[in-house]
Amino acid sequence: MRALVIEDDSVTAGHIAETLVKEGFEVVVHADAAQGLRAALTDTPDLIVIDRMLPSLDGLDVIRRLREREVSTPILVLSALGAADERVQGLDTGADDYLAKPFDASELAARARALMRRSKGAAVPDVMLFGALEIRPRARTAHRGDKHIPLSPKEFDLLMFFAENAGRVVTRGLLLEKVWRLHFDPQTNVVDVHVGRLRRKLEGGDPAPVIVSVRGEGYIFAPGQ
Amino acid sequence: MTMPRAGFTRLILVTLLLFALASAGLVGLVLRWSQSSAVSQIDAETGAEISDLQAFYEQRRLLALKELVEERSSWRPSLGAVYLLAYNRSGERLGGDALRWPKEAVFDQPFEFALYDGLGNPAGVTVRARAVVLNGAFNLLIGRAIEPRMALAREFEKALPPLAAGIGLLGLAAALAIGRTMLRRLEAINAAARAVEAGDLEMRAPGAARADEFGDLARHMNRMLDRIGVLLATTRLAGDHIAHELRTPMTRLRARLEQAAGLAEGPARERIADAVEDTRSLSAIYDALLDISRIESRSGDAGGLEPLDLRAVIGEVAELYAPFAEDRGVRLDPAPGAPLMVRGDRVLLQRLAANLIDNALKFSPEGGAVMIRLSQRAGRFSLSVADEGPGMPAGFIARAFDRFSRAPQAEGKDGFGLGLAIVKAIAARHRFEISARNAAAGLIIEVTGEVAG
Repeated sequence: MRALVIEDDSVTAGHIAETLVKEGFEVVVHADAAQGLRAALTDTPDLIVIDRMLPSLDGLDVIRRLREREVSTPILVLSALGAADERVQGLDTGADDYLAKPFDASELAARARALMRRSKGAAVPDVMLFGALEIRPRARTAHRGDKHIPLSPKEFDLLMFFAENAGRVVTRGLLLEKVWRLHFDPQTNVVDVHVGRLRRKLEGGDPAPVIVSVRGEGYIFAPGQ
Repeated sequence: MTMPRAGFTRLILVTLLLFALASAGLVGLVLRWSQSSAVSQIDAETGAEISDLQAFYEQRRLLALKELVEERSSWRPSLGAVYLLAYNRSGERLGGDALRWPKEAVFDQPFEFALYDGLGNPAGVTVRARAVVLNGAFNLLIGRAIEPRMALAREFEKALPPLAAGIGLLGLAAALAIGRTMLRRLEAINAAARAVEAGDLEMRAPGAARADEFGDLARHMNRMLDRIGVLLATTRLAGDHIAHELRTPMTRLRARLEQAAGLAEGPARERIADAVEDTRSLSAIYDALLDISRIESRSGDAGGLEPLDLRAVIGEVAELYAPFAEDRGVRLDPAPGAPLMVRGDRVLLQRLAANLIDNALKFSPEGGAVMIRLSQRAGRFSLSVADEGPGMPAGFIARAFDRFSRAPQAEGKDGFGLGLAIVKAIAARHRFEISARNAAAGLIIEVTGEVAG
């Protein structure tokens, strides 16, 4: 997988590149919008991560030009302009996801993975197995061994999101956005409580943790490890 | 056309009153003038005639004068003329039509007296006359009945009521015509102002090209709006630049700390994780402040709002908070019921609901309840969130929605004192009203606003 990063700040660009390399991308960085645009057209990357306020051009203009030429590469905007209307503007222009700066590396990684999964059009499997844990996405049920785990619809959505990102750090912000469709961070860490409940239901008294908290970052769904 | 309002009615009434006063003054003046001109005409006539007769007496003496007086009094009654020639001492009549010398008589200046008939009863006629003494022995009086000369004035008086009514109607019509024209142009400017108030900052007052005072008003208002537009755009631009300038170093700081955390071991790694957590707080405060400014910059702006079910929004947010409330032993009553439509921004209203519920839960004691109430009456809704916490000191309530204002009892609780400031900004964005008050147990925050029609 190849990723193109268009970002003028070298430290930030380095951090993005490092994060994406860990996710298995080969990364090319351009600081200039025009060069970036050329690279996007000629190199056919699998993912484009672009800043908005670039020295010569707004990142959105780059996206517009790419979409005009029917380039369908997944694009993630990473910008200091992070207000709700700016996100909407970005997504309307043709971006596939929008992350506000300053960002968490784990969140960028999770979003990049989600975009790759979506672009590959990975079909939802009938059964997902994690050790003794068995999830059936179509039936929306979960079992531990032969024991049914009763889950509320929200809890099941939460479990599915964890399952799709198994073994990776999932941030609170990402959960709020993808599971609850909320685009702001509540003052109290309510997500923790939801995750705690799901964890207790999944673990069912088994001392082996299914969901692990990563301090200051989020959670990792890692059953049977 | 809108209904004439108090200002318009007052203008018409004042105009009409002034018009009526001026008209009454003019009519009075004409009446006075016609009366006094009748009187001075009499005085001129009697003055001239008395000089004539005096001269006649000088030439022809008493007998000839007596004859002349008799002659004139016999053929001039149609003119209302009155003559009397009498002895100076006794007042006995020598000739003429008045029966006796009036006691009101004075010499050498006009006077008025009432005429009596043969039986000594008032004849109902007032005479204005002059009298002279001839040769120290005889008195001569020449007068004219006043009334016939007043005919013009009387006619005028008779014509007065219809005239006054006519003038009044004319005045009213004129005032209405002028007032309506003014009102229509003023109303056009007001309509533009209302549209701007409702958030249409592109609206401009009509009639700015006309070279009169209303044109001036429209021009000034439009220039003011242009200026506000420029200022708003500048502020937003500045905000975006500040956002970028601050976020870039913050992004770098976070990046370096995360990289350092990857390299560090043991306690150092912990410290770095703490520092990352601090940069998160910094971003959170900064984001909240920037959000408040951005939301406030669109206060009352109807653009971007869409009809949505407020009850559903509250339900979703309450669902997010339900396990948290349960863990704390607080009952969260989410006010289920029929949809209640408002015009709003979904993300902002979710945030408003979340901050109110968050705040109420934070201050709720274990075993307490947070009651959400959503009701609708006469085209307005009321959303209230009540907790059973300690409430707020009376002096603090007025500042409850200010930035960074934290109630004394919030010591030791999470938050930066921005939650309710965001709520206030979101309410203002939607033209909702917001208030806080202490109840018997705890605090009630109420948001009211228009239901989407």
